Amino acid sequence: MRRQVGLLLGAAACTVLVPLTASLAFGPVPPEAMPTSAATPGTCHVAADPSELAATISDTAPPVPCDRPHQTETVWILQIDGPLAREVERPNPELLGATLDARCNDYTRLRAYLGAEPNDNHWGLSMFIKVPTRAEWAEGDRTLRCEAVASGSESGGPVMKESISGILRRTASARYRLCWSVGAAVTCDQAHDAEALSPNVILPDGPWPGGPAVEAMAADRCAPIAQQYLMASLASRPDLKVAFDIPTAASWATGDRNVDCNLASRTGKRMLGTVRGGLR
Amino acid sequence: MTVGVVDPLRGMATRLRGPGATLEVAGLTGGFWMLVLIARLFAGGTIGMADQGDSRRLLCQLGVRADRPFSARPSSYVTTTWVEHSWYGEACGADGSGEPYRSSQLVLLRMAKHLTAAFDLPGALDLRAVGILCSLVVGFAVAALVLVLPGRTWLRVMFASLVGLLAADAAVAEYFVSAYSEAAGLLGILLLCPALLWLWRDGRSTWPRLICVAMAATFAMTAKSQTTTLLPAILLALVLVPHRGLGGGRPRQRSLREVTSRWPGLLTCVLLTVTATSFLSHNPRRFEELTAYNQVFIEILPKSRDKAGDLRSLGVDPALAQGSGRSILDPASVARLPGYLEFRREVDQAGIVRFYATHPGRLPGLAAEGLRGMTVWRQDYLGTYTADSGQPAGSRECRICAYATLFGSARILPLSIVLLWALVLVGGIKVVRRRHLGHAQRAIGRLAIVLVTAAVSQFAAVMLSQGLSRPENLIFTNFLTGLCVPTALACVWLLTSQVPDDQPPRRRPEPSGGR
Repeated sequence: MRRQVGLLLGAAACTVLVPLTASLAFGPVPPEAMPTSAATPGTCHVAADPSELAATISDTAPPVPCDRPHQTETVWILQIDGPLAREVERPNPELLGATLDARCNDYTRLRAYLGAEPNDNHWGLSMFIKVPTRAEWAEGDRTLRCEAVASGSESGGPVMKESISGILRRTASARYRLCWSVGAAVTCDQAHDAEALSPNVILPDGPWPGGPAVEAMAADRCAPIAQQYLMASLASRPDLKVAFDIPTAASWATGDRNVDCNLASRTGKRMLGTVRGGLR
Repeated sequence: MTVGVVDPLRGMATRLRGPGATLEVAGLTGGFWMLVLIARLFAGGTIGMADQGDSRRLLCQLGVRADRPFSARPSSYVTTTWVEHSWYGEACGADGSGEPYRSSQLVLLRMAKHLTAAFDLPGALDLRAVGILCSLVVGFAVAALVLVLPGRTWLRVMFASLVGLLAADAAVAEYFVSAYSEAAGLLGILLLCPALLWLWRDGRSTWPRLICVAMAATFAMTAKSQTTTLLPAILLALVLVPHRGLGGGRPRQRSLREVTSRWPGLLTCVLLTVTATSFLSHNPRRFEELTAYNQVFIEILPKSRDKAGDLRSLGVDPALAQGSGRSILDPASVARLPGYLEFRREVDQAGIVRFYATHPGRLPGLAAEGLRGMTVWRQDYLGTYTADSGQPAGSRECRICAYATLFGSARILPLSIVLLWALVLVGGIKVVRRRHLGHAQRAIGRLAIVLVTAAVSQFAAVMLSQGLSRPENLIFTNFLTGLCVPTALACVWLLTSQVPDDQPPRRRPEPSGGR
C-alpha cells in the first residue's frame, strides 16, 4: 500500500513538474502599439532600436508628440489593394516590401508634404512601409502607412525633432536640404561647401561649345535660380557665389547637358545651415 | 554505542558514490571546471558571441534592448549591456513577425536579470551574469558526473574533466555570454548525462531519478525547436530499466511484465512527448517558412540537375527555380515575387521530408555535406570580443579549442565521425551486455547508446530542416558527438580492464559466516 502511494505521488509530481518546467520557456506577450487603421498623417513614432525601424513591418510603438525626439513620421495613409490584399494570411515581409515600397516612395507626394517649392532640393529622408499586424490583417485591415525616416547622420541614429509637414518652409529645414561637403552629399545642418539648388539646368543641344562657353551659359542660367532661392538679389549677398557642376567635353559627347546649380561661400569658408530665403 | 550525526549531503553522497570517490572530490572537480569556465570567459576580457540583431527575440521579453550605437553592426562585437526598453506589437517576436519566441533560455536570462541588479552590473541585464550562471551549471554537472560515475576516483575525475573541457571549448562556451537559446540546449544536454547515469545506476528507476531526467530533458528540449529532436533518445533512455518495486508476475507474462514494470518511465515518456509536441506547435510560423525556404532554395535546388522538376515534386511553380542559391533577404530572392505565396502555402517540413523520401538518391550527398559541416565546429561570421577589447571587428577567440581542433582535423576524412558513432554504439552495446559488470558500469554503455541516438537524430533533423544555412545549426550534433569521446574512452576502459563490480551481486551468495 505504502509503495503504491509512493508511486502515485511520484507520478503526480512528475505530471506537475514537467509542464511547469516547460512553462518557464514561455515569456510575456508585449502590448499592441496602436491599431494600424487608427494612424493619421502627421503622427510621429519612436524606434529606439534598429529592429523596430527596419526589421518589423508593422507598427512598433505608440505615437509621441512630434516636438519630442522621434524616428519616423506617418506622411500618408493608403490602402493595400490588388491580389496581395486578397491574401487571407499576411504575406511575407519580403513580398510586402517589394510590392508596396514603390507606393510609398512617391517623390512628388513627399515634396508636397514637405512644402517644397520648385527651387527646393529635399534630402536625407527615406520612406518605410508599415502594414497591419498579422491579427489585423486576418480581420481584414489593409491599411498601408507610409513613414518618413531621417537619414542616420547622428551617432544616436536617425532622430527627428519636429514634424516634417511643410518643413521646407521653415528655418529648421536645413536638416532636410541637400548640401555638398568635399564632393559628398550631406544635409545642410552639417558643415558644407555648397548648397544645392533646384531645378537643374539643361543646356541646349549642339556641338561642344568649349569649357568657357559652357561656364558662361551655366552662370547665366543658374543666377536666376539662385536669386529665386535666396528670395533676394545676389548683390545683396556678397558672401555667396553661384557655383555649378557642368558637363565635360567627354560627357557632352555622350549626351550630358545637365548643370547642377549651387550656392557656395565666396571666401571658401565652410557653411552651416541653409541660405534659403523666406523661411519662417 | 554512540550514534554520530550524519551529514545528509554526505549520506547522499555515500549512497551515490562508488568506492573511493567523495563528495569533496566531486565538489573540487566541479568547482575547478566552474573556475576554468569563468576564467576562459572573463580573464583578459569578456568572451561571448555577437548576434545579427536577432538576439532581441528572446531578450525583448524581459523588456530590454542592446545598449549599442544605432548604426553599429551587431555582428562585429558582443554587446553585454542591455538597457530597459518598452517593446510593442510585433517588434518583440520571431524576426519581426510578432510570433512569440519560446525558449528555456529565458530561465537563465530571468535569473541573470536579477543577478545584474544584485551585483550592480551595468544596464538592466548584463550578459556576463548569464556567463556566470552557465559556469555554475557546468560546474554542477561536472560534480554530479563525478558522483554518479562508477569506478575509481581518478577515472571519474578524468571522464568528468573531459566533459568540462568540452563545455569550455570555444565552440560551446561562447554561447554562454550571448542572447542565443543554444546555451539552454547545451546545458540541458549536459545535465542529462549525470541524470541518466543516476537513473540507471542501480538497474532500477525511481521517481526522483525519473523526475530529474524529465526536468533536464524538458529544459533541453524547450531550448529551441531543433532540440525537440532529442525526444527519441530520451524516450529510449526512460524505458531501458524497470522501475524499483515493480516487475513481479508469472514468467509466462514476461512481455507484459516488461511493460508494467516500466509504467512510470512510460508515463514520463508520454509527458515529454506531449511537452515536445506542444512546444513545437508554438514554433513561430515565420521560422517554419525560413526553414522551408532554406531547405529548398539553399540546399535542394543548387545541387539539383532538374530544378524545375524538383519544384514540381514539391507542388510549386517551376519558375521559382530562378531563386536557387539565393538567401531570402537577397534583392533577387523569389520571396519578393507573387508566385512565392504558393510556395509559402504548399511547402512545409512534412513536404520536405516527403521530397527526400521520394528522392532517396539525394540523401547520401546531403549526409556527406552534413558530415563535412560537422568538421567546422565554430561559426565564422560573428565576433566573440566586446567593442572595448581593442580587437578588430568580427575577431574570434580561441582560448580553449581542444574539441574544435580535434573535430576540425576530421575534415580530412569526415566519414571518421560516422566511424566514431558506430564505435561508441557498438562499445555501448557491448558494455550493456557484459553481465559481469555492475549496473552503474553498464549505465555508461546505456549512455553511449543514448548519446549516439541523440546525435544521429539531431544530425538527421538538421539536414532535413535548416540544413547548413548557418554552421551553428549543427552545434547540438557536435556537442553530443563531443560527449561521445569521453564515453567511448570509458567504454573501452570497461571492456578492456578487469573492472571491479561496484554493485552488490544480483544473486546474493550463500552466507559464509559472520564477522
